[in-house]
Amino acid sequence: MIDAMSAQLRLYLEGPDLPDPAHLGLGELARLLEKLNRVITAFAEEIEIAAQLVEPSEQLASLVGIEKGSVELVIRPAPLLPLEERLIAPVLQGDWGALPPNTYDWLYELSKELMTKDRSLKVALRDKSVPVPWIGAERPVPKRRAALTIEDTITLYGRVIRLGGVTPKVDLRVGNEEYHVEADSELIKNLERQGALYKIIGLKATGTFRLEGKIWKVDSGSLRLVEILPYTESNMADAFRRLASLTGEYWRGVDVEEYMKKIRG
Amino acid sequence: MGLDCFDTNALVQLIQAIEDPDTPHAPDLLAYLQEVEEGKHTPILPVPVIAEYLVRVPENKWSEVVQFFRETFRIYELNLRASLEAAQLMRVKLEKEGKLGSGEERECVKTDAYILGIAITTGCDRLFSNDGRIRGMANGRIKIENIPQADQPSLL
Repeated sequence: MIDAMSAQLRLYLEGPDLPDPAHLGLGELARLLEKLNRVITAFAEEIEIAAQLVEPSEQLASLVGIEKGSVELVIRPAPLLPLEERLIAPVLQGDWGALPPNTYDWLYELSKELMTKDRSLKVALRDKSVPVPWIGAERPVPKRRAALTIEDTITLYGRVIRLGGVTPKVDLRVGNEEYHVEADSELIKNLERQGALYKIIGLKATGTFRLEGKIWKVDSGSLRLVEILPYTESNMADAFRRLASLTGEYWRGVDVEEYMKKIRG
Repeated sequence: MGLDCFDTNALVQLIQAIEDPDTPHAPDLLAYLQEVEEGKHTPILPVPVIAEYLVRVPENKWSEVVQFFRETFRIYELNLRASLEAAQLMRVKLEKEGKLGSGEERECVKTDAYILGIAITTGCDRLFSNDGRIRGMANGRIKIENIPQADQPSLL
């Protein structure tokens, strides 16, 4: 389990051909550890933890023990790495969409390797007295279906937080998210001249979008500006009042429900 | 502060309430407008709603009104993702009704599915619509409310 005090992950390698560790050759163990390392490294990179390691020598995960019986691997992950919550739990719940894509692919490879000899990697969890199968013969990892990926347009309304850069970009904060939209340097200069920094603007961009589960995610770095919209942030209540002033007469006395039935059928 | 998507009926009813506070639901609508004034809500309009709204506006005013919409409202177009979302919602609907591939009835992906697709892919918290088909298709993907109402109910 991930022991909060010692922050260790206990994995158990089991299989019909593994009555004891003596039956697991060094080469096989090395391959297994290599693949496990790939899983953890991909995971750390995809959840953007790798860059946050404080000490240069801090490891993502270290093998701190191999014990007798079923081959028991004691791994100490870096404290910031949420292995149980975001790597182990999704697999146990079959929530494949929650796994970052490269991590998933390496997990699939590790699971495939284990399955060639009908082996499983089990994991000790906090709330379970007996280790549970994580991946391998007892819980095969299905091959990841390529997520639907498309080129598409996106409309964004947000606050400009940065302009320019080595690759000229408009950085926009939309809610809790940031979008980095590549743009022509002349256009960036125009935005700077217009005092757009820290103002709310609207823009349209193209980019690459991938469907993960039910959520579309944009590939970072793929956004290219199409146009800055003529939108100016204003009081929306006033906007509705002005719209009423401009067009309200055409809706006077109209039965909206009847109208909607007529146009939508 | 979440995004509120307006279907055509909700937009028209709000405009009617502003024009005439005696119209049905005006107190609720105007109370919502007050909360918009206070910055509590961010309304957005899908392009298909603008199209339906413009049907009753004379063509010679379209240029002015469209420009007004573009400069003042947060408008979202029907892009590919919204279209795919609409297709998925329509597919689920036809499967539920046993009509997928049956050839019994002519069905097409209509404006309401597109509006729902835009609202979902834009990340809206709710869609104001009294369209029964929209409610039936939404499948819990987004909250549907008949008309905009204040979070704090009107005292009238």
